[in-house]
Amino acid sequence: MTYTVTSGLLVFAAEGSTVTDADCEGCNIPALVEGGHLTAQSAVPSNEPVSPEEGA
Amino acid sequence: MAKFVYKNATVVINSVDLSSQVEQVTVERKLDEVEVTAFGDTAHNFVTGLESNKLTLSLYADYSASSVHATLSPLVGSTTTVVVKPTANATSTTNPSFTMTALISNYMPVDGKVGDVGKLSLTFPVVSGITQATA
Repeated sequence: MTYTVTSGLLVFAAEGSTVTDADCEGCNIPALVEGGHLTAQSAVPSNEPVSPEEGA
Repeated sequence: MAKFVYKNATVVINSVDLSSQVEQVTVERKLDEVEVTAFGDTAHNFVTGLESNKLTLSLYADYSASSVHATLSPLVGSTTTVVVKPTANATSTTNPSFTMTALISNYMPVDGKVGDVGKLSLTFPVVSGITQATA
């Protein structure tokens, strides 16, 4: 999981940077998300074509 | 570092630096005094028991995004790492850091009376030892 840092108060990453779960080791990540310090990045959409069966 | 005046102590809770909203911080290390007085003793006799450490904070009540309330409220009921340093300088023998795991077991989001500056006075039990680092 990756997150965008959305506050300037985190001690391990600058605002606007991207961090991973590993970067946040030892932190209560849900609390950081709820507190507005991190925003979970949505999964990157796959470029794989959708087969007719899947698209049906 | 010799004698100094507190000007820029740092308080980091769950990796969030709330120093600019902290008015006072107290880190207390305390060991239980377990009485072992027995017949023949001429005074109360004690041995040290479990650590009973605590963290006390006085913060300005700030409800803006990513500030005091937004940071502390989601932590209620859980443990979190807290790091306190006497100054904002790098950790060293003259500016040791104190790291602990605090249980955010109580939180008063509103605590004030008319005319007062909005503040939060919080005391959290420390559910670990307090680790001092000098580097």
